[in-house]
Amino acid sequence: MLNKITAPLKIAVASGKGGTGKTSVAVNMAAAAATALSFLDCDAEAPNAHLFFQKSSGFQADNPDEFFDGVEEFYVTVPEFNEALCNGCGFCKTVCKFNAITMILNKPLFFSELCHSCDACLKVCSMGAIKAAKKMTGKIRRKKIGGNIALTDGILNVSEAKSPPLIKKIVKKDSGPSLTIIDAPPGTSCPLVAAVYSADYIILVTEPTPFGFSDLKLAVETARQLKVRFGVVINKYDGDFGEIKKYCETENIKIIGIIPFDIQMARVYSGGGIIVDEMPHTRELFLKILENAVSEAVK
Amino acid sequence: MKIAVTSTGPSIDSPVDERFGRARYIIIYDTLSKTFETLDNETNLNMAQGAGIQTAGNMAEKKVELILTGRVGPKAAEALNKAGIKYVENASGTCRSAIEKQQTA
Amino acid sequence: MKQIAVISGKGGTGKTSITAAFIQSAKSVMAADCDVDAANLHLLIEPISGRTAPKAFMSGYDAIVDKSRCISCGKCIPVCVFEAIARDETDNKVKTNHLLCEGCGACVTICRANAIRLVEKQAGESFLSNTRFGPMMHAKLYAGEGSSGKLVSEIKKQACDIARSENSNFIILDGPPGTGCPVIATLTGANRAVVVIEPSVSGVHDAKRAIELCKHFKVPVCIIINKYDINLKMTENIEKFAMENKISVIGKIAFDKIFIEAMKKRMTVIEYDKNSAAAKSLIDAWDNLKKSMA
Repeated sequence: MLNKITAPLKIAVASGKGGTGKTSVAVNMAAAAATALSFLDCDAEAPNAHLFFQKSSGFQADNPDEFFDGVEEFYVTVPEFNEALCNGCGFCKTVCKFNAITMILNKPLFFSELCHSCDACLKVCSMGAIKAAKKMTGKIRRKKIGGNIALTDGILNVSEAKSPPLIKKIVKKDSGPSLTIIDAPPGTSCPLVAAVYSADYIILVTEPTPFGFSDLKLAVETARQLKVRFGVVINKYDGDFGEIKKYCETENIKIIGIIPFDIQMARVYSGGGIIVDEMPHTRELFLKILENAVSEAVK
Repeated sequence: MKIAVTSTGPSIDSPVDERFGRARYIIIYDTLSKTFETLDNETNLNMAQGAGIQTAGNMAEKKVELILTGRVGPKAAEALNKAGIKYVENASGTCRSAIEKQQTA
Repeated sequence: MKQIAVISGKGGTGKTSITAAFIQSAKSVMAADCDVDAANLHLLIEPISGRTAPKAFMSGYDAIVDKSRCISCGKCIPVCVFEAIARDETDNKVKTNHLLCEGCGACVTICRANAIRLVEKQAGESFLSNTRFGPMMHAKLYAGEGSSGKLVSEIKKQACDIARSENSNFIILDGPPGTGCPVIATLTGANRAVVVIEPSVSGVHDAKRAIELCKHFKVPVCIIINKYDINLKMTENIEKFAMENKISVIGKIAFDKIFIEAMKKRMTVIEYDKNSAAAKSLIDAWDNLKKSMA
């Protein structure tokens, strides 16, 4: 059925809580799919998907960038001030809602770590003293995996605070002509929104623990805010915690997959392996989750 | 010379506020006229981000030459350096005692 | 007063369970949950009562269009780098999307008709609660909001004020995953970062980024290896890495279902069974941490 997808279709994998198995589900669905797809690792603060593809292709090197076919630097726009042209009016400081500019002795002093790259200061300077400059905040890396998967990941420079611009660019530029799987960052705030905003469907991965359940409810709230359709996958299921199923039933949320807790899966994951390759009997399970998501998305 | 002390209250006898950018008040003492002026810093206190650098900007505007406070963050420090304003950290006690201590030192 | 931040890079490595055990062991302590997107600490350390009323977290602005003034010129649309403004096809005027709007006000500046204004928005709430282990700051960021870093700073500021006035020996912070702004806000001003690593390829990859971040902000780091027996070879590699980088490993905790069992009972692992191997490793880790900061 996956071969029949002819228009762009974006399936995002998300969760409020980290470590519930987002990347595992996303990577193994992609590996199980046997169809051409784009895979976007949008967890730019902690991108992991490439590690699994890396191991399965036997790649070993000190510099992980070498694994990729191409590495593109990612820039945001920041203002550059020409003091000679500045008349000290201070309008740039007034207009900056992020307090990234202060006037010291009638000259602007700029702090790029506070800047949101909104360009407002560039637009208001009547003296032409501010011009657009670029600041590198991360990298976009691409790799063709096997015959089918076009992997793109974003990796934010360490010490850089804001991942959303990088995530937005990846989703915009690298979404494929048919199926795209998006591995989203954890949480419920702006990085997540950037990753799943334009998705057709979100798979919310949870685990049957009080933490997992609590964060699932937050993730559901977020998905509803965004008005994107979603379903739930319960990972590491040991039949021990009934609340999630009950909640999904009352909230009318579809459970599109249950992955049993299996120490063998945990070991494969820990070693950076792809579960569906090392444990072939699981292929059907992950494929079914993807197919369920796709059929829900196109409904 | 003008000395500024970050203060928890509007009076020169209020305890020093350890925060610089997010200090509740700033007492500016003029060593020549021996008078002081109180600056309400509430706007900066409630700022989302960049409180330190905006407070530094205000200090430059007020022609302050020395600041006594608890701790100055790295961005505020950069702004103060640019403005040529010196600062002394780890001030304690009341604003008055901090100023006196500084003057005898 | 020492400020300790527990972080990990990757989520789900056991930060919160470990943090809760530390808070219990620390005794004179101010706790703060800095994972404001997906707070969990309050599930283990339940608030008994609120010390103060919940505080609204005001964060930045939202651009609002007054359609009666909009002249449909559309100049604001390309000005918005966040693509938060679009034409409303029903009346050809413009509308803003509050999920994309960052409140920069560029549209307000460009609008000749004065049809757009910025309104301050509430993006969450923060709470100061009494718990069985002492005071705790925690918060809830509303779904889909940005500026979690700012909320973290706000929580920390209040936590520091309380710790100071009550003479607490420790401020213990349960950090968020990742390396972005809320993590940076958590690390700012901390005396020590505890990085919780699980021995998996991805856990190690992300922990190294977290350690690099601590170095950048000059916060001294130590490591706890959680679920160390899931992959002994990788645990060995982590220990080697720690040695080479002169980072001390203050604890090694075996994989144990007791973590989830304690969680289901809303208890710390030490409360659940103080004689368990897990509880003992946690107590040892805390002692090592305390000694290393003395």
